[in-house]
Amino acid sequence: MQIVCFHLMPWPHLPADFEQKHDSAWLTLPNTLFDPERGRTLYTDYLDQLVAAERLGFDVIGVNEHHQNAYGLMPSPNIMAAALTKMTSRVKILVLGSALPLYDHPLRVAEEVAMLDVMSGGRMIAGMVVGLGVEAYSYEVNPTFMRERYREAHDLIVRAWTEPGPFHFEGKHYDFRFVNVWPRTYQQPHPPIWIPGSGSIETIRFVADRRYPFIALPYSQFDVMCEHFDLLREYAASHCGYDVPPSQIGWPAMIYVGETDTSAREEFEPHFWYLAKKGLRLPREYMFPPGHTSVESQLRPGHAKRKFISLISSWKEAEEGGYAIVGSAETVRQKLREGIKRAGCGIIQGIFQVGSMPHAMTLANMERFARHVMPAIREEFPQ
Amino acid sequence: MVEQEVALEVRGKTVQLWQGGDGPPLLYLHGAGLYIWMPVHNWLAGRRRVFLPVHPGFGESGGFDEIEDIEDLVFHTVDVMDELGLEQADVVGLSLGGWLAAELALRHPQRVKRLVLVDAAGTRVAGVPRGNIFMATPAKARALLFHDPASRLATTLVPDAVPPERMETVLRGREAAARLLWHPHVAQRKLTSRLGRITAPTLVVWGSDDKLLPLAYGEAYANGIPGARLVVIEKSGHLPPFEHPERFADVVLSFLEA
Repeated sequence: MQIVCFHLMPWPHLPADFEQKHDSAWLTLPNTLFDPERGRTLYTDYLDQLVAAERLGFDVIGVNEHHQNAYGLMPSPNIMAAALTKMTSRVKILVLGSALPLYDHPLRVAEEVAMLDVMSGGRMIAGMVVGLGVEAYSYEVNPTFMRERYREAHDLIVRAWTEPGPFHFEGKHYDFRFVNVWPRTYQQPHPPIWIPGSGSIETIRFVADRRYPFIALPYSQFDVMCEHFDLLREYAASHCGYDVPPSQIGWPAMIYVGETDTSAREEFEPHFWYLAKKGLRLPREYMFPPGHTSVESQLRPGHAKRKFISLISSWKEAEEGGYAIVGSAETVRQKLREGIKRAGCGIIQGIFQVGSMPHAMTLANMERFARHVMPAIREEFPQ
Repeated sequence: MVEQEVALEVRGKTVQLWQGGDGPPLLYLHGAGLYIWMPVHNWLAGRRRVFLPVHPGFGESGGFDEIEDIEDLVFHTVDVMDELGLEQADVVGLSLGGWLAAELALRHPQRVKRLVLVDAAGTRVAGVPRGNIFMATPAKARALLFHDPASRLATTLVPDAVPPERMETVLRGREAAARLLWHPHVAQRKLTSRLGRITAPTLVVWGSDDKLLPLAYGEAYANGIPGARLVVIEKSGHLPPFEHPERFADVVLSFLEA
């Protein structure tokens, strides 16, 4: 089992009347709500949490990319990764990012990841994502071309890492006459590539064909996520002729370990609702611009069954849907065990700081997890 | 004037076509939201042979993969005119179709006899915000498109929930629309600077109350195209042909027959 400490770096200071005054925490939320002084403290705390993860024995620390929102303060995850290469020495660093179609110059991604890989001595894991629908607005990219651009940028980057330069890359959206990335990546042939996805058929096929680890998105029911894993296993078996190993399946989970089930819920719940109702406040029309998700995927029956976290209204629903893993160490161990078996995953992408959760509470959560949960999971599910 | 729906074969792609009426040919280029035969087409078909080809990706028409921008749609439309044997036609275009009509008249002046641009997309007017239909809920879309958003016309054409049997067509149509209309600022800038090159006699028709493309956009077309005249349809939003079909047809036919 590879255990990731993943961070979203949210803005935790949205006002109490935010929902009354604003219909979105993304794209159109005025950036005057951001306070640079508080931001500075946040970046320090959040980076310290990821550094603590190395000390606590996590395998991987991860950063995330989103644009123009209060949900996550990492428009450029590579900047955080660069800081982390110098603040850590052993742990792998996952960038999940990069949102390839947003960039007219995906070679920049190839260059920056190569730099990070050399700086970290080969500790990078490169994520490649399509980007959310709302980010078509943020970066003014035609959503009907995002899938095409994603694939083409992926091919360009992988070739830039693996083929001797210079060479000419001739694509529909990208055409670079001189592809010749300096520096080359430290890991050869290139850093591992992980692909997060919402379970669209296109992404499932893409990862199955290339045998990339597939990381689900964390904000739907656990069962819906497992159906995506099943779909991946079925597709790989029937179309690619192989059985997907657990190491190719990643379960993203908000995890909170308290002293008891009762205290865990009491401590965790306000921050959960902050995330669900404030950070993820995102109108449907922002989220689904035409063409971002294929018509085929939108018409699939499972699409309707999925209930996004911002639409649930009770803790009972959150718990039954498996939106978060919360409880005493014993409870969390048990839930993770069951979940890992059902999901068939070899990667746990834990999110330990959720919504408005303060620094000390986050560190205590991570410590309890590392001390009382992680060893048992490692023992039961060896790598 | 009973309409007829046929499927053309144009360079290996299927093109859905509505047609009806008798008289000189009128090529009607549809907008992004509605691509079926409507009452306004009956009014026009009273004195004209009306051809309504459905653009690639919309309705039953194929060939969407070959459309990257408005220029591709111009080439395609010329192919359709060739297939229909239309050396020259009067061209009426609404919204997306109006933009297409203007580009067609600019590039192929010999194919366009008279040009009618109706609440046409395609230009840029600095400082006058356009509505964003892709970001709109159904209720907001009705407010952007219609003079009376509560009218039966508005709730029928833009329902709160798309009926399941129409869902696939609607989703594909939205994708085809976004491909062309997402934010084509370069094409808009270029067309705006080229309007003076259009030679066809031109009528610009605009809804007085268009909130998607405010009247300033109609004025830009009328001021930019030499000799163009602007007619404002009162109590109309973005869709005068559907909100006031008879009045609209009168205005258009009088211009075409002048």
